[in-house]
Amino acid sequence: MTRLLRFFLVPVALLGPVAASGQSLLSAGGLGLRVEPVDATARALGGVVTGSMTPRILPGYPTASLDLLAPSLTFTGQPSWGDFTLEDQEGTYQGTRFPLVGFSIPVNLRSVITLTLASRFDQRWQVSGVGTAELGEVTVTTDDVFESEGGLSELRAGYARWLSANVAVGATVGLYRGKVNRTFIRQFDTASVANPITAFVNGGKWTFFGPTASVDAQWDPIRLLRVGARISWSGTLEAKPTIDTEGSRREIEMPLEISVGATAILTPGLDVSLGLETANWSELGDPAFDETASGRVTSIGAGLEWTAGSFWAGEFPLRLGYRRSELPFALDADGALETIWSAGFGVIMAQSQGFPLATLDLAGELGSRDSGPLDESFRRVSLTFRISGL
Amino acid sequence: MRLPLRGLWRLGVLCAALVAALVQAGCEEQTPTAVTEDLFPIAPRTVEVLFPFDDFGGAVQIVGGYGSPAELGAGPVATDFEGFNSRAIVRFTNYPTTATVRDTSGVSRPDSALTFIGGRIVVFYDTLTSQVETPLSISAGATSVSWHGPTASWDVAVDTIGNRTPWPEPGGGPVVPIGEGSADLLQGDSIVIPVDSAQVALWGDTLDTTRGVLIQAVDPGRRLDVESVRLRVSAIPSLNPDTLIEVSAFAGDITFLFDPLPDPAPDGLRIGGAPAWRTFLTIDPPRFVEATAPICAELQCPIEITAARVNQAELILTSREVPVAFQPTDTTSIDVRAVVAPQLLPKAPLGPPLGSALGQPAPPEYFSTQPGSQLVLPVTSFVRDLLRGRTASGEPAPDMLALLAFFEPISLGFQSFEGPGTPGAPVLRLVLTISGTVELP
Repeated sequence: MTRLLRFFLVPVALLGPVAASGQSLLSAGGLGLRVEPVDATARALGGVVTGSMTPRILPGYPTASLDLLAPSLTFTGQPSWGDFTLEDQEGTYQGTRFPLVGFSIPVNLRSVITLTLASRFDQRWQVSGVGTAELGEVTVTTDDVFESEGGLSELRAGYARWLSANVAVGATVGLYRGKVNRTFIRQFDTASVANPITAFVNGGKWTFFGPTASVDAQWDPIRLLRVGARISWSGTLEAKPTIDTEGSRREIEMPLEISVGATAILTPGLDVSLGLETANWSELGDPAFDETASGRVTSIGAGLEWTAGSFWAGEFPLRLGYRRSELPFALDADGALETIWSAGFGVIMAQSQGFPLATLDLAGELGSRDSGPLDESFRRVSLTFRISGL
Repeated sequence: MRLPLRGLWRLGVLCAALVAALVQAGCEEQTPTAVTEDLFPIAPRTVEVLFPFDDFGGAVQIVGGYGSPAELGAGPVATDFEGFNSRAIVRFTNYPTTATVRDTSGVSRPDSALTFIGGRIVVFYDTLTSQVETPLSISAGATSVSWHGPTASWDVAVDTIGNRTPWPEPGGGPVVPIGEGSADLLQGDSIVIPVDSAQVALWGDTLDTTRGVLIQAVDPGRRLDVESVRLRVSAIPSLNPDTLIEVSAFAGDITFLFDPLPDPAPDGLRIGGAPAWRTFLTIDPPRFVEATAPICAELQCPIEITAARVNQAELILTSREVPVAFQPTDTTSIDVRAVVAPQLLPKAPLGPPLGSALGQPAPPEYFSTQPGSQLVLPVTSFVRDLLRGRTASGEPAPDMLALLAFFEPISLGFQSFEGPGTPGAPVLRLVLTISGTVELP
């Protein structure tokens, strides 16, 4: 035990500015910003995936792949650009994510196996601030940076089967996997001192692990209508600190997610899709996560697809959509709301016997997010490639 | 069902173009800027803590004898300068045996048959640092007993292994007077003392270990800082006996005999000088520190001092006035290093410099007109290693510091600092950043 001669204690006053990066400032709340692991087709149709008539590879929806009659691989890239205002501050951001990779293999004409790797939550964000520290008679400028780097993904294996000519069911099992590095760095401007002051670094690294499973079904009550539903269960998500991390182990009880949707053919070449998803993001088993969790959140989406004609090697669908989503985590208890207007198209680049072998789908979105003092607007492009017959 | 090759080629081109566009967009990550401290998950505080010597230091040792005045090449000449006496003793190199001269026909040719007929000793001095207000008489005398340049001192002519021979008279022994000159700072920067042909001839015998010249101040109370000494020898070339040429012999051995050599004060620290002193001390940084109430309201007190929390560690020394004769005349760089194997003192190997590559500058006025000035030595990595218990390479962390002159020896002047038990005793200054644990949200 030592005798204290002098203990100058000057809290570092944050003078600003503060910076953040990632897909959204909402990445700072709870598990981060929810990433909907869907393709460009769904993005253009208001995020509706349940009950869709377009064959695709989607995580948790193996029935959507039943009409892919050849082994197929899909890949989605997603650049985005955004602006935000937080109280009296304004800023911009941009970045590219790759939210979905999927693979499907038809077992026979009535069943399919799928394998998907998809993003679920993005935890990439950064905040920085400038302050001062009084060290004796010298005032030293400090630069603080807190960086969170990582995210949560899900790996799913699925199987789906036509039970009859108009009823199909599917199921998936999977794992949540991911990691996040959270690091605080304080650097000192040593221009005013004789000897260098080394940076202060404090942080930790966690890995995520948890089980998940889902069942989904689709039914065509009439030839012009398809309805679908999905229930996705998730177990306890464990956030385990690495051996050199002082932070604690955490457990998050992931909620049950339910989605329903339908697609109807209004006229030849014109489809309309509607979808709804809901989950209760409360009582997660961890008060700190509950603090920024939004409770029950619901997303609704609607889309319109019009096949305008032919282009390149096949049909040329044009799509419009709208989506309104309550986000699972926000900066505070006020919740967060996301609204998106979208449009897109699809191109069949190669087909055989009427079956698309190579497709490109593109969606453009204009959206906004609102969470208490935070307002964001963003532009996002989604590109999905699918190759079949590998 | 197979993807046709033609379609595959088109698809490849398109995919490549679009992926390139995506990657390009991804390369341009842009950070938005906002103001909200709420997003910081921790609220660290950076504070300065000063520990008195008793809390961290111990086992102070001051060890001298590093290097020799013979390594300086320059030094003072003084008689009773505030009680300080110093003389320069020089042994010149061989005379040049060959010189290029113009013969009687006007052709320049090498001549190796030179006849030395006399010469003059030239003493160059520093007009800025010498303390000579009025002209100072300087005398030169030929040494008469054997002496050893690297080891000669005021009392001893030879101090090698198995041979310690004192001067017959302290301070260079009896000398054969050669002559005198006058140092006048207003007139020039050198003194010339004539040497007759007999002395030149004697000094030409390089096997004679007694040869040398002792230069001393005749007038008391002043100090002349000698920079170099040369012997300019006059010679008659055989190729043209009507011509007189001059060649130079340089100081092969030059050292300074001085007296007294003050012992380090028991309550002080000493660095530098010639032979040089080093100060060794052990460091045991505190592991905890008390904090004030506002801090303790947020963090557990006492606060543990860990390596990760130490952003800066400095050893603060307070300068002390040095006897006039030994006051540095120029800025000296002070080095601080870890002692790797203290058990091998005084010849313990040292680690790399803990501070800047050129050491910490200590202005000369710190030890003359501005005693009490503070010299700050960086020891951050040393203290962090101690708190971790090991170095970055995994070795046990040394706990002893060596304070020494960056260039050793650099001058007869040394640096003195307040030691343990005095009001200006060394202080350990730590800059700590204290925060809670980074957690998930």
